[in-house]
Amino acid sequence: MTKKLKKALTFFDHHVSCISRRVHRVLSSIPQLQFVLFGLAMVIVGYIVYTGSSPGNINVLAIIMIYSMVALGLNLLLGYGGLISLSTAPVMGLAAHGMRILVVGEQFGQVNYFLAIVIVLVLSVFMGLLIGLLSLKMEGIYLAIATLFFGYIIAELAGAFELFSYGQSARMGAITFFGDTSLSWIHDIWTLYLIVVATVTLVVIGLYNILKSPTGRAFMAISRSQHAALAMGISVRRYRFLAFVISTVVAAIGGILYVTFRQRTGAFDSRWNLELSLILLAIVVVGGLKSFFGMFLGAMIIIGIPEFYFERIEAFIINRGWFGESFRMLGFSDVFAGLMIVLAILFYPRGAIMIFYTLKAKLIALKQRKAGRDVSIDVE
Amino acid sequence: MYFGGLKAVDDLSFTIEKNQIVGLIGPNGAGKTTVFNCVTQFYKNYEGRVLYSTEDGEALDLRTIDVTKIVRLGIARTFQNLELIPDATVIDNVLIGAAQDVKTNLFDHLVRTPRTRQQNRELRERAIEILEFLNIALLKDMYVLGLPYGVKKKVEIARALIANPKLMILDEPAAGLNEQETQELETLIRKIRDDYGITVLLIEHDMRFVMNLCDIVCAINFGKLLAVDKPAAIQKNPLVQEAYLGKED
Repeated sequence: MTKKLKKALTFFDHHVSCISRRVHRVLSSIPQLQFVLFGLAMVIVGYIVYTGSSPGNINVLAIIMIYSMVALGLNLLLGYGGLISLSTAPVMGLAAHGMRILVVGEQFGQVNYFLAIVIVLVLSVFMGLLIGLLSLKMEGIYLAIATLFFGYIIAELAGAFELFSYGQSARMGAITFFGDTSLSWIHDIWTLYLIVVATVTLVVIGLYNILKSPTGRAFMAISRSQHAALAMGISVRRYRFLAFVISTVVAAIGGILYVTFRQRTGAFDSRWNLELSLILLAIVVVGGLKSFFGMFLGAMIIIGIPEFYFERIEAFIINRGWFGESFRMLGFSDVFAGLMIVLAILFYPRGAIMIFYTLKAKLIALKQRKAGRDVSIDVE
Repeated sequence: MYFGGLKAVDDLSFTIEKNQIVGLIGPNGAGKTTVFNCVTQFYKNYEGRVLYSTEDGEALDLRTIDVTKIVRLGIARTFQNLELIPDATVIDNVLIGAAQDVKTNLFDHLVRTPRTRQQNRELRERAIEILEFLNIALLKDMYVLGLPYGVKKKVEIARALIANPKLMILDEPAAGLNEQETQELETLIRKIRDDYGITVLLIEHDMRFVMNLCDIVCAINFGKLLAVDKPAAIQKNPLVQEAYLGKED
């Protein structure tokens, strides 16, 4: 009986390793496939959540996907170009409000949904150039402060004009595709989620391609060794502009996705504020520079786990009446989220994505030890 | 060339012929690297002229050229303090040198058009060829961060080589290398001159290395020219001896 089991196990083990080797080979020849697989996984996870006991959590999943994508755009700036921006959230907000203005059309008349996307993206390119202008004269903390106030200016202007509904959140309403198909948030949340996953996957593949191309190398060159970049004919100015334009466009896509999914624009002072810019920055730092999966992990740690688990635990304890009233004031989930960020940075200063590398190294060590033991048995 | 009130290079003039290996020597602070930075246009506000003979035999004043365009004229350089990307692989670092040969645009890179893939393949092949020439092809997928100093130096040379230069400017290529590595570097630089037909201008403190390798040596001190001559003559030159050893009272 045990012999049979052992045989079956070796048979199984052999086939699993064969398959995994083949998967590995395909993945290393077409690395873009990993993002498609990730997208499919997110569709499955989303479906489980959507049909499960608390379908509202699909909102959190969509937001995490959008933030991961925007964080990857920021990563291109920070991890590759060595530049920093604290105006990501206002840019997202501006794109969201821009979409509403164009699609609802109270002021300038209605525009087709896709045409509105094109207009918003073109405008975001100009915005990126404008922010990029700051980076020609500044670096590091100075650039951070300059972009911070650029973001403030955007938010203040949005608050001053009625056009942006005085910076407050406004309803966009159901989105009309191709004239007749309209998607309302209440009924078609699953379709909207699929749109988010598909767009994020495509944008991430595009960013991955850029980062692995000569353009990506040039970004690294301008941040790691400016002198070498100049001597080799890479214009630091040009690539700084380019880095800001790309990351601003990605942030705008994030804003468009948000408004498409939620069908509300979100307010400048409660959603598109400095806190979100800093959270996006934290996702980049906690998740690990230079990897999309790192961004996703970072978003999970900073937004996902507190939303999914800590708040539930908090509600549970409050309902039981443990620790009294002071517990309600403490804000358990925020405290734990902060603690987790500190722990992640403490143990994985190069990003939470390093967890996988550590696990892989452990696995290999384990396998080798096992192999070593097998050999010694053979000798006996 | 002045830095504030300090005169770093003063009335210096020398000529480099094609296919020569020229050494620039001088005590610390003599202004050697400043000369290099003037030639490669990192510094622009110097007095005087840096002339470069183009392919059609015209004398081109390099001051009119932007620092990022210098490499297109066929002038590539290395740096005294290594200027590499630590968190990129050896081959990616080398490919930085091929930036001028990248003919594809951002859109090509975004969607990975066949043109991009074709070009990436070609550039990679060229990079591997150069890495093989420098005997470090095995390390091509290693990150630069943990590599030994000698290899990093070679990566810098490879990055300059892939730019297809006619003039290669090496800032202290042998600094920090052991004796064996220095000897290997000597044969390599000779081969670079003979096989690739590249003129070499280098700064170096290792006198044996300079005297063995260079056709012409140019000695400077306090930004002033001391002598330009064959290595043997430079060794006997009293001015050079004084600059290095001091004057006998």
